[in-house]
Formats: sequence, structure tokens, C-alpha cells
Amino acid sequence: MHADATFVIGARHEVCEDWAAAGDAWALVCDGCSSSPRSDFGARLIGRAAERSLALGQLCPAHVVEAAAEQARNMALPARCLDATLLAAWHDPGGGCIRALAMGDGVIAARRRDGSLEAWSIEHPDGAPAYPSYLIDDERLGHYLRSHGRRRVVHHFDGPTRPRQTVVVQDEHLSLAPWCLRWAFPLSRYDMVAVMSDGATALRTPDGSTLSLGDSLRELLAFRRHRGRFVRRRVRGALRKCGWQLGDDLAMAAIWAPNDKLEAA
Amino acid sequence: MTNPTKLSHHAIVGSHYGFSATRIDDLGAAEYTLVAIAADASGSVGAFRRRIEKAIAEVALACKSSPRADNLMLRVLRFDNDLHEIHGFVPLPAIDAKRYDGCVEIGGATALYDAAHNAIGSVTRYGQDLADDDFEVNGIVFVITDGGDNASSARAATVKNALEHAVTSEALESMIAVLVGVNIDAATSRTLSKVKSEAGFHRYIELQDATASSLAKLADFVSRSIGAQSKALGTGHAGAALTF
Repeated sequence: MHADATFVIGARHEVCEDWAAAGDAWALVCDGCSSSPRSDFGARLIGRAAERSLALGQLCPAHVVEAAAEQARNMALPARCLDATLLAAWHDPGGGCIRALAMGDGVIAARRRDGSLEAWSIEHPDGAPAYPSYLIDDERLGHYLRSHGRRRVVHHFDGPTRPRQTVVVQDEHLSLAPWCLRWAFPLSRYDMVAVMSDGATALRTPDGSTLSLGDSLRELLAFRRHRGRFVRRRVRGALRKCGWQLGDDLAMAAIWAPNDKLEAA
Repeated sequence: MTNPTKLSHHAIVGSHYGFSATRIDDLGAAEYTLVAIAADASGSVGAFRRRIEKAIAEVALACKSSPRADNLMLRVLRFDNDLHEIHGFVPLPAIDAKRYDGCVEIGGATALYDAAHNAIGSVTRYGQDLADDDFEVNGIVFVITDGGDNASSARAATVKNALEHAVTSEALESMIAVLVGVNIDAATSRTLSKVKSEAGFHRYIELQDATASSLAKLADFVSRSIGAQSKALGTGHAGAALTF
């Protein structure tokens, strides 16, 4: 099992509000809300709290947000700085799978052992992602649920046949129950899972056209090796070789399970 | 100094001699400056070989304490009639500078072009392997000698072609090759200046003697040049030429 993570500042950003981290068997990204104060700090606090939780082999979103909120208070940061997405993937040895979780927008991608790619693009069409920070503030949560909460999840499949896209979730109004989206990727069928901020959907060609998510993923996930800083190398290599421009900050983290892990599982 | 089981061996096209390098799977950074130092070990170097060894050790120590240490890999070889790899490309943090004590074993003649060709070829070839895996890579080569070539199978043009290939292959973002003359009299100075032009070295610097202070100054220059080249990585340009 090997994991790596990287993040890159968008072309027009003063500070990178995305953050990513990886451990031996987990990977995560966070994307701070641009309109919330000091969300660059908040994304890192959420990420750091999740990191500590994942290092223990678990991820409880409410505990993560509470731990991050405590740190924010200690640093005299506004509570709203914690408005950040959290997408994570981790190895579950008992379940023989890689689990993934998404709170807010972004992309979860997985590669099947036959080489085909699947991805779930989580979108909030009204521009208000379901940040985990709302879970510890009843007033903000109530307002969000009354006024926002549209969510759409598009499944992309890129295999031997023609790429296809299917809308698999269409929430007109989120309630608390499906706040957090979860996946389980059996190691028998999948060898790599990546989590990405929504910057993956905002990449542009050198002439300024927006890339389709399928085209972006084919390049971003074209790892030749899965050792060392493989995610950082691939993201930088793709940006360098393709001349892509970043329409937004981009964070990406991936976890790879070689065949020996499959046998162990 | 290094665990030999972690090095992989590579051939260089057009050369009898290959090189070794850390396996790509074992590398922890995403970008590297590849440094190759080829040190003359012909008979005439015997009087100051310890100072050459010390200079190489000082370069390694200085680079180890550089903020870019994690992004530097160093390969050292000595040459007389033949080439002898002291160690292949190894990340700086893994190098023990004490290893260079006694590394310059004195031999016979001066296969200067063979050594330059091998040093440049190794940077290009390994750089290509790294670039194929999305590493950002540039290179810098130092060839240290006290005289002209008298034993190579390669020619000056072979070295020049290797340097041109280093750039045109696009494996390396930039490449710098420096010829260093040590303990040089006027006649050798003219010879090495000609070598510089014919073989396409980017720079030629010389020390008229081989005292401890001169070689310490050389070590400082080499270390600073490596640092400048490493800092230039990602800019698309070579590091600034520094004053010797």
C-alpha cells in the first residue's frame, strides 16, 4: 500500500486554499471556501484533524470538525474558517477494501484492475457545498438546509467501450442523512483510489478551453509508477507537459494497492 | 556509504562503461539535480590526490547541508586509463563524506574524454529515466584534471555530441558541464582551453597550483554551482554562472 498527495495554487489565487496529505494507507484533500475568512487555515486544520483520525484507521467527520474547531479557537481564528471540503480514502484491511468519503464538492476516482477508470464528480449546482463545519453549528446548518442543499453526483466510466456519464445522485434538497457520501472499493476489483478537489474540474487547455473531467482524469491518473511522490510528480508532469492552466487550486491524493495487498486481503 | 543492493546498473550507448544509480522506486523527492564529478587519478595527480579527495568530501558535505540536499543526487568517478565508479547517483543525505578517504587510487594515463563522455552520458540517461516518470531533472558535471587526454577511445567530438544530446533529448531541463584544470602550467592551460572549445564544455576554470587553499576554493565553487543549478530547476533555465 502506498499513498501520496499534492496541491497546487490556482493561477489567480493569492493563497492556496486547497490542502492534501497522505500517510501509509490513507489520502485526503481539503478545499477551503473562498468566501469564508482564513479558510486556507481552516482547510489545513480540518485536514490535520482528519489526518490524525485516519492514522488511527478511522474517520468520524463530527470528531474531525470538533478537533479542528478547538484548534481554530486556540489560534483565535473565526469558526467560519473551517468551511472546507473533506474527501478522503483509506485502506480497510478488515473489509478488504479501500474506503472513501466525501463531504462537499470534488472528485472521487478509482481505477479497476483491468485498467478502466471510474469517477464520481460531486457537484453543488447552487455553489454552496455541504461543508462538514455546518455539522457543529445548528444555526448555520439550519440555514444551509433551508436555503441550499442541491447536490448532484455524476458517475464517469472510462473503459474499453465508449466513455459514459450517468447522474447517480440528484438531491434537490439535502437533509442530514446523506450529508456524507461513502464508497467501498474492493481490493479484488480496484487497485487505486484518488480524491481530488473541484480544481480537477476547472483545468484549461493552453488556449483557455475547459477540459472535460474525463480528459483531465486520463492524464492526471496516468501514473507509470506508484512509489515515492508519484502523485506530485504526475500532477506537475501533466501540467508541465500538457501546458494546462489551473482555473482553481488543485489538490489530489491517491492510495495504491499492489497485487501483494490483494493477496494479503 | 550506500547500500549497493539499492542501486540499479545502466549502460550508456557508445561507451564500454555504464553507471549505477538509485532505483527510481526508492526516491523520495519529485525533482532532482543530477551531479557527476569525474576526478583525474592519473600518475601525475599522485602528489595531491589527498587534497582532491578532500575537495570532493567538502563538496559532499556542503551539499548535504544545503536546503536543496533532498533534491540532489551525486555520482563520483575517477579516471586514469580506465573509468572507475566510486559511487553511482545517490541522494546527498545518504552519502557519508568519509567514504572519499582513499578513493582516488592513482593509475596511469588520462582518459579525459572517456570520463567526460561517461559523466555526461550518465546524467542524460538517468535523467531520461527520471523524466519518463515525471520527475523534473537538470544536471551539472565537473571533470577535474591536471592534463590533456592521452588514453581515451572517445574524442572531443564524442563529448560534444553527448552534451548536445543532453539538451536535445529534452530529458534534462538544463545541463552545465565544467572542465576544471588543477596544477596547470601555461602549456596545459592552452591544451585544456582547446579541450573546452572542442568538447563543448560550458566553462573552463583552472587552478595554477593544487594547494589545500586552492582546492578548498574549488570545493566552494563546485558546491555553489551545484546549489545555483538546483535552484534553477523548474525555471527552464540553467543556474547562473558563478565567479570562481
